[in-house]
Amino acid sequence: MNKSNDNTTHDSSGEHLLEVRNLSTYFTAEEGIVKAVDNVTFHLGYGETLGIVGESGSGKSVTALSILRIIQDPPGKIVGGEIIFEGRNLLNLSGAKMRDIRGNQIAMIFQDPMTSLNPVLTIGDQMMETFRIHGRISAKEAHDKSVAMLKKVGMPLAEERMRQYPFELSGGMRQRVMIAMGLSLKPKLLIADEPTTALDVTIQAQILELIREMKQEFGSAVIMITHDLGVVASTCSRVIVMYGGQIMEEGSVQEIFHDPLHPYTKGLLACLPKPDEKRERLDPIPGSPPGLAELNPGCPFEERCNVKMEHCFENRPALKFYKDQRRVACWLFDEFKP
Amino acid sequence: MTNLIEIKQLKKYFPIYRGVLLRRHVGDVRAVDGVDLSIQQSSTLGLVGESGCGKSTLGRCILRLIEPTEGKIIFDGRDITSLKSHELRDLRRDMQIVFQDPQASLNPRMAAGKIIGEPLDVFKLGDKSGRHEKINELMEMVGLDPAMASRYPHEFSGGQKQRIGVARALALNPKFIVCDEPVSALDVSIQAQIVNLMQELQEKLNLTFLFIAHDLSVVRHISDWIAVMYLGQIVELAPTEMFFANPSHPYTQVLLKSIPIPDPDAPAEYAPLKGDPPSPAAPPSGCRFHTRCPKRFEPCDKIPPVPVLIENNHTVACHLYSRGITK
Ligand SMILES: Nc1ncnc2c1ncn2[C@@H]1O[C@H](COP(=O)(O)OP(=O)(O)O)[C@@H](O)[C@H]1O
Ligand SMILES: Nc1ncnc2c1ncn2[C@@H]1O[C@H](COP(=O)(O)OP(=O)(O)O)[C@@H](O)[C@H]1O
Ligand SMILES: [Mg+2]
Ligand SMILES: [Mg+2]
Repeated sequence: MNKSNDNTTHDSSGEHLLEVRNLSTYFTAEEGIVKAVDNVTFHLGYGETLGIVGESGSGKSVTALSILRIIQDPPGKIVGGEIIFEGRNLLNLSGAKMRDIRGNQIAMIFQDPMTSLNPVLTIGDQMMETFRIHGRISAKEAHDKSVAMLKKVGMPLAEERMRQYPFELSGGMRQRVMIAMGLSLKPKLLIADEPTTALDVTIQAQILELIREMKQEFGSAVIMITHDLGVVASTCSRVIVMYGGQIMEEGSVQEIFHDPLHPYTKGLLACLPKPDEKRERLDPIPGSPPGLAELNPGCPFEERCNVKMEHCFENRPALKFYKDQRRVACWLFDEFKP
Repeated sequence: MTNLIEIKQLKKYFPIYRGVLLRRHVGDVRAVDGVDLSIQQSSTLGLVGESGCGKSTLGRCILRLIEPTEGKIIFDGRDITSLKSHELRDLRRDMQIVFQDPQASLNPRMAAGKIIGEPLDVFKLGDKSGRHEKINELMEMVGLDPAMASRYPHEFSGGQKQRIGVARALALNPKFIVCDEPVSALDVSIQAQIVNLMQELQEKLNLTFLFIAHDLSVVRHISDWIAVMYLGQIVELAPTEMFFANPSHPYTQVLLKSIPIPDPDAPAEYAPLKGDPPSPAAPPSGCRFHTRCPKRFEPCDKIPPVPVLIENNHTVACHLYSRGITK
């Protein structure tokens, strides 16, 4: 997606589309309490594309599932915070109102569309269902709308696909169906959780292009969750970097890639192979991501950090504004060192 | 430089049968369909292409883990295409494989040390203390603490599991390793660790790699040569620098453009390839890429292109470069 056609606007009241404030979602596991999302705060403007990056287990998906309130309880629970969507706190809505939000206002697509499509229903049944739930329209109308939407997402032989089952489609085609279903209701927000991770780069390019087109057409805001820094750089205007269930850094895509502040962000960028410099060895981040049940009280990245200081283990740095929209959680940038 | 591996016109067809009572052979999945390749001693050949194009099948054929349908495999100067199973046993010591999914390729009920040492047991190499020493040595070589030998796979992180997989592959001092997407399932910070490990081991032990991956930036970093595969065939082959300086097959060019570059200032080039790859059970006529090719012209749907040398060492199978064909 091209950053330049990011149609970020604020609505008349000057509010953001989405504000996540101090969100915490925990899981009860054998090892103890897993703080999958721990005091996470961010916002999203109307029509904006925000990237959430981080290694596996950093809390990206749980953040997304929390926004939609589809955390499995037990073992999971949203234990604190607010999720303000167009001025309303989603955490206070009734189940019925929340279903309406999920159907009409916020759409989500997942890494593996197979898990969110019903294997025993045809593509047509599932597409038509989305239209019919949300308005009294005839089967014929729902059918025609579904075919039109499938054509719009570039599905070859759309009429024929309506009669097929999910397993008869390739991964790329299944993801198109998910996007068609998600976007058929012109949602204000699309959450895409690793939408292209399971796909080949050629198909990934098609899907990213499709999301870009749809975004332009419907003006939806997008939260693009990915571990692929290439996808972030080519699709997002603002980026949040997560690690250990917490936000490490936030900035514009330019700032994150050209002037990263947090040692974790720096490490992530440094370990990518660079085409134009012939290096003998890559610069990996040592160690591996921590288990979230056994985090130290301080910075979650402390164990792997190459510039850690003595107090980093015991004291967690707050996510503080560095300048403008720039936030970072690291003692290097905090004048009030403990 | 001498070639450790030479493959000539290799084919692997998987037969498709229909019917329960009367099983009829109705066709073939042409997973590998006429591949010529060689891999120089102590070098790395990177093999890229969309999923299903036959990369893993090619790797497994070379190792003789599956029987090729046709063609020749020459390993270290010796034709191994039709070795009998007892002759293959010795070959297993020289050729090994590391898989993509470290989780699935390690027996969850076996301790790490046992997994790594299993090949030694199978080949009855050394006595008990000798094996124990070798396991320790292997663990240290791949950056694992030998004290962890008694732990089970689930107690290791993804990167550590892949290190166990690498140690197991090294146990018999092989000459050649097929690395089948060894870093694809790992986080980027861990990918870099494993890529570095593979390179260090290659230098130290004089190994030759067939490195299969779909991430071209990793392949570029680790490979001396790069081969691009499409529907069972190699469409372009060149030394790495030449390959990136002058990518020539239209498929290679689209593949390179499809990769999002981790730099927000990189020009956004969007001309995504249309559609999915066709089925290898019914490959298109002529050039197999012609159904998706942005540069297709007159002969492409009729005549299969043969690989031609477009510069020293750089081979391309495309009519744009075919002799005697005019655009
Ligand atoms: N259903 C669950 N039960 C227990 N722990 C979970 C569950 N879902 C997620 N987690 C834990 O929450 C953490 C964050 O997971 P997730 O948000 O899926 O990470 P990401 O999407 O960044 O890879 C992980 O440590 C994971 O183990
Ligand atoms: N054992 C098998 N039986 C039948 N078809 C197979 C078998 N193994 C692979 N194939 C088919 O051969 C083709 C190539 O597969 P593979 O070598 O795994 O591709 P890649 O590794 O490039 O993704 C695919 O169409 C696949 O479905
Ligand atoms: Mg996730
Ligand atoms: Mg494979």
